[in-house]
Amino acid sequence: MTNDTMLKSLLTYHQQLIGDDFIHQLMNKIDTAYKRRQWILGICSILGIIFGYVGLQTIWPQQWLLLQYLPDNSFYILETIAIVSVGCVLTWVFKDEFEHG
Amino acid sequence: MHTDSELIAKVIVKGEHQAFNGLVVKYQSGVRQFLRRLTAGDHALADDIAQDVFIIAFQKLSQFKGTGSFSGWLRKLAYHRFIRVIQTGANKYESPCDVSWQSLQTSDSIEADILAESLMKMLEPDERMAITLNVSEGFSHSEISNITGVPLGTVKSFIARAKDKLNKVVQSNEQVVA
Repeated sequence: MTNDTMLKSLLTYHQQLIGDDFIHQLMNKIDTAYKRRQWILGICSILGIIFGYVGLQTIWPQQWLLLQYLPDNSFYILETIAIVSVGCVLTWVFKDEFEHG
Repeated sequence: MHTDSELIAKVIVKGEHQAFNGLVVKYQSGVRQFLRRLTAGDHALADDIAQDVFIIAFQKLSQFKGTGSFSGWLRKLAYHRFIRVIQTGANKYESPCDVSWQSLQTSDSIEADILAESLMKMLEPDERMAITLNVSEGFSHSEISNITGVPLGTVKSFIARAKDKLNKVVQSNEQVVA
């Protein structure tokens, strides 16, 4: 037997490892990580909405009304852009959820 | 029976964890065996790294381009994860080789694997990676270079050095037996 053949027979994988426990443990970890990601995404979304709402409230009473009376209608353009942008961001964030039901 | 591509597509597009389970079932043995060789028989560490490897694979599955085999991609993740572990963790790889030369020929598959893992203690981690991928798994030199990102010449050098070291063991074993 040549050295290379001997090495090949020595180093080849001799057994197929059975992995029921390994797979079970791994899939549990993946599920936990996935759920954690969902929680983080949800909490961040809620925080974003809260802070956005608070921010909006601070400018709402005075500037909203004043902006409406601008002569060039720029407020309405800004308002449209803001609504479309928020819609796009929400769609992007929750795209996976819509697709996976 | 689904192909790798079908299972990967199901995980990425539909988010089906069960499809990833299919990939794990198919590849867990090979990845764990590979890591057992890299860790020179530290089964617990090898399985810990293997778990990390599959979690990383799940998270980065959309980055798998499909240009090489999925098996090769997993080996790449495993090798990089192993290197990271030995760079950051305690050095467990300086223990002297404890191979019993008389037992180089065994018919028991478990003993044979333990023997092969013990032999790895004689090699540096890079040499273990190269010789295992080449001799145990049948990857070509260029495939190993692509998988690991190590230059082709360096891969050849690792394999040559590893074979040289292991051949000395084989020869000394033959002398003992004779």
